[in-house]
Amino acid sequence: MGINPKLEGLLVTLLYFTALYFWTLPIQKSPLPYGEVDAASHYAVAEFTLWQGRSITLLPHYIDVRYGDDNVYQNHVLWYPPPFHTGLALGGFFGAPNQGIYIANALFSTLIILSVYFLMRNLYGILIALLSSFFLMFSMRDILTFLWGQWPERMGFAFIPLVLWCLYAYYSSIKEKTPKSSYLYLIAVFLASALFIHPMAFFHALAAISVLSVFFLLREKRFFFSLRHIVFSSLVFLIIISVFPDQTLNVFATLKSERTDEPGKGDFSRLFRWFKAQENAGVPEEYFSYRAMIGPVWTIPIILIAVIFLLLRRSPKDLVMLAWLVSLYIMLHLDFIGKGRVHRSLSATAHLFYPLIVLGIWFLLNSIPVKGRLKAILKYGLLSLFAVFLALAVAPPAFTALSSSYQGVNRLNPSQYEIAQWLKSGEGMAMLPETSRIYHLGSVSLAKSRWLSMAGHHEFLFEPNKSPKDANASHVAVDTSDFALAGRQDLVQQLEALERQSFANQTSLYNKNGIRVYQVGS
Amino acid sequence: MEAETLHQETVKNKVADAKLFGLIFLLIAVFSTFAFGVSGFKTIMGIIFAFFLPAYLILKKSAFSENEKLFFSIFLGAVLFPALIYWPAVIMPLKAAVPLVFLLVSGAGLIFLLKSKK
Repeated sequence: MGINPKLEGLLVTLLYFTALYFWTLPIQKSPLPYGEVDAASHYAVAEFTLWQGRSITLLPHYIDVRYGDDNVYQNHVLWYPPPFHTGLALGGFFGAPNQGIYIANALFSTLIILSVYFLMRNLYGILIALLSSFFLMFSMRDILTFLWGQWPERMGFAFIPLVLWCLYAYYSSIKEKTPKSSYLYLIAVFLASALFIHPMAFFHALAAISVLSVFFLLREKRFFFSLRHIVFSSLVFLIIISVFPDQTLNVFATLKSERTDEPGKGDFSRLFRWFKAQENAGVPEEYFSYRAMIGPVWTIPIILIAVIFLLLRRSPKDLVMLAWLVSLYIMLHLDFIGKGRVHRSLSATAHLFYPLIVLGIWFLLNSIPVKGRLKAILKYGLLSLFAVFLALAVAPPAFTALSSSYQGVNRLNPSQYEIAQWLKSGEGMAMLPETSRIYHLGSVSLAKSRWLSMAGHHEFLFEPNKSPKDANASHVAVDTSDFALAGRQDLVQQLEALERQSFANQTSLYNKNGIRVYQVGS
Repeated sequence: MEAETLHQETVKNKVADAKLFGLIFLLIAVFSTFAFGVSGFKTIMGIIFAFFLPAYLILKKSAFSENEKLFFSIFLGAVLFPALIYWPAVIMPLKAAVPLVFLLVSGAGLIFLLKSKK
């Protein structure tokens, strides 16, 4: 079925902006920032860039106390290369700060939909590409990690299909005896881009093109790359990554200092399982469930059928898909040698699995033993039926997750956001110096206190098992706003009684909307 | 005669492309205003123009196919533009760095375009 290129442009725009609409539901409902602690850190870098109107060189105190050592190579500077967070800041620069940061993040995080579309379109056609990208919009693992705050990783994975395509195109150009070195240079640029966005995405992309190179070399039984092209593209890569030396070298310094005793080391049974649920990975159990994250169990045989078809045919484009699969397998099994954060790699699965599901169905439909018009009717009819079934299975939970996440006490409430604005204002800074350690009494979670730190430019302590004195706090923020929001008047009263008892003879430095701040030290 | 027909065909295609781009632009504008209000519209348009346009201008006359140029521009721009902003914004305010870098990169793209036309 041919799709008019003009119609294609419209369809892809519609697809991408539909995804953007869904993925921005949490910020459409409220402009207040949300997410887990990782989200707070990414937000903080972008927000501070906007706040001071300049790029960050040395970390401000409130970020430094938590993330100052995260750059192993050079402490107290940005631990990620700056492009991602500068991009987020530019979103706020063009529009409104919070909303702009979150819209930019959604635009970046959904780029995988476009890159998968691009690869599948060029390899297997528009219809396969549209369906693959459509289902990817509802990938629960992508959505959850996006909501929680593993933002750069979401964007970084989008470079994998691009480097695969570039290598395929380079190989094809050599086969056609018109070598196009520009594709190899682009691989260098995209690999450097992936490294700038997230190291894990870089290693995934590197693994993907390494495996594909081996496949092509085996197919050709000769070294077909031009050494000159390889040397030049390596130079391009090195020149680009040298732009941010502190962060690039941090990637390698971190690798050197990384643990090599991840659970599962030397466990041979791991090699025969796609994945094993990990304990203490900081994610809910359902994160490891195929059914909850990818789709109904009946899609697993379809993936296997696709792989069998690909293995039997082994055309260059099929090798691209197989190389992607093998490289993903390798990245998911790095724990066998005690390396990697494999549960994070798991969030790259849907990018390949949905295209494989669509390909599996397509291969099956193409092998229906009828011919002519009837075959076309059957093929497209059954394909539509399959698409509806799968969409009905994957879309509702995705929509629920996006539309109901981070409501109520799970995100900064307006009272907390107001104190955060006050703290970083001239008045707040004058009353509470930037090195203040504010004990957050009434915090519902570590994430909540971290969000107050990052939005308020002051360190908030979440130490429920310590007293303010033991936590070496300089101030105490008595925060009844979340308990009030949750309708827990009993807890509000309990907190207020404790406050009366502790600060009977003290005047608060801030007193608004159920939040009061007292000085307890210097 | 044949050359004239070809020319007319090219002009026709260019008009059709312009119409399509116009329609897509309109779709994006309506969507972003509807979903995010004026500030969201500004964010989305700002990102599309500042990130995508300079990269597209640079690739416009390359040997890549049209769909490659479009997609590569999106991904190159998403990293290239913020990367180019970072260092200038260390020494000058973002308000100055953003238009400066945009003009420089778009200017470079236009020069590429004009040179390759010659």
